[in-house]
Amino acid sequence: MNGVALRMLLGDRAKYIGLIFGIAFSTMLMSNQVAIFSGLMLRTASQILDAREADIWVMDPRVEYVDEIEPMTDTQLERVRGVYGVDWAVPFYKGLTVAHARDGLLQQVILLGVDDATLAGVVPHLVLGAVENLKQPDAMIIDRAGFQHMWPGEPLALGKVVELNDHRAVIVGVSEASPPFTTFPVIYAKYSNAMNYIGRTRKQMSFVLVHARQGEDAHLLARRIASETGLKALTWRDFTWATISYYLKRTGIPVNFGITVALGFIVGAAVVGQTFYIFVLENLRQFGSLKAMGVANHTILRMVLLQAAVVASTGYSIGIGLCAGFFEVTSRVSINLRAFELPWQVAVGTAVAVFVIIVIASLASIRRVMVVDPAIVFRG
Amino acid sequence: MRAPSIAVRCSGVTKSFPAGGGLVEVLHGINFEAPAGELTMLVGPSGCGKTTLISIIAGILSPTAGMVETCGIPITQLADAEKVAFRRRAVGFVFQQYNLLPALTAAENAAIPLVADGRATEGGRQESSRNSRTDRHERPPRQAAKPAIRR
Repeated sequence: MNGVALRMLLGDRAKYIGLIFGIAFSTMLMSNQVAIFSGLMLRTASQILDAREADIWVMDPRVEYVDEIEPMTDTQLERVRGVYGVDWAVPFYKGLTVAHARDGLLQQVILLGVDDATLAGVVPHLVLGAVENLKQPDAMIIDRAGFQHMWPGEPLALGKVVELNDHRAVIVGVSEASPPFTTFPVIYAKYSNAMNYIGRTRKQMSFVLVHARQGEDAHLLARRIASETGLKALTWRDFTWATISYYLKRTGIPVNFGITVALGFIVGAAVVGQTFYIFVLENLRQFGSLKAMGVANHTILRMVLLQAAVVASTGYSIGIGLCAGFFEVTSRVSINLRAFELPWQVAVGTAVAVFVIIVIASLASIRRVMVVDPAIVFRG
Repeated sequence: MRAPSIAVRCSGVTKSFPAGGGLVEVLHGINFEAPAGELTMLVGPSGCGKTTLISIIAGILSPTAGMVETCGIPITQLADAEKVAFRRRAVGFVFQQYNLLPALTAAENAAIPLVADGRATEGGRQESSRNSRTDRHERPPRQAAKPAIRR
């Protein structure tokens, strides 16, 4: 009877398209908003995520997230290096400064200073140049979006000169750094150069990046560093979550997006649930006929569930495809919208939500089908 | 197996429906026999209980009291699942409102009990080999005239 169920479903083209549209719309709404939200939150921790060699970030105990910096003295670096289980530890500077391009615009930038010797902490993806170029005098690496902000309409090129705090800096690489929350250009320089760009002070080191020895548990090592140095030490994952949590707690972003996501879910549930429920109820007489003709309840149950599965999977596929297409298009249209994408977790979560909605709608309508009196078919 | 000479036998069939907090008795001790191989017509004014009696004979409704034997099967003694199987195998309906599935062709509508019983494919192909199907069998009900639908 599966074929009969599908013919019943597809036979009424208008209702079928209405169902599919409802589910596709709801899927699109839910996945799109959740994906934008997660993309936005990941942007808050982009510099942590880009420094992939670091297992642990060490910072002043009062620091709560990556953009809140309480500088430390360079001597703290040696204390961290002295902790058992540390493979290597390097200084990392993070700060804001203003870049003046002689042939471009003035632009606030995020300046990241990495260890002179190892260059640990530089984003590994470069679209032009090489990470090693940073060892050249006055060298800096800028991100692709930053380059386009500073020199709008110009093709990516090396050798461009900017001034940072009256110091000359030459672009030796263009990176594909993750977009930051603030959309400022991201500039990497050697730690010593970064100190020149911002001006020497007694305390200047923002973080210590630590790599654990092989076999060393990062959480245990972080705890050991904290207890032995009095500094705060977090694994990169914990620091990422701490940063995201800060923005979640201190900004209205989660509330705004939460409302949109909830509305998407409610509207989606209402549209999908109501449409499917009505679809089944409108077919109640047909199900009554089938029951009168000797089709068992369990067969009818299977038919309704099959119809639900078909509309849910078709509508979901279209909706999630539209959502993925949306991000594909927007990332090409505007560089500021890059890295907004559809994570697989969002796709799976939306699938679960859609199927929950459709199962609830199915169960509500199935109950009516199960109790329908087959004698209904004799009534006028 | 020999077919029973009596197709339908009803003895003392009563049927009551709940209404307004009480019970309304629609059938009052019906005794009725329909011989096999003959055309039997049940005639009466509107609301006299014809549909209720047919529903009971077909195993769709259960009588409040009495015994019904259809095609030699005491259907009042059957469990619900057995009644469903009985309807599928032994009873054919032409509903007053037709109640055909609009998405299926006439032949496919006719084949539903066979499909449900696993005796035909969903396109009603077993039927097609038995009966020479014409073009009108392949049309959906909405494209057929009322007499054709009834047939």
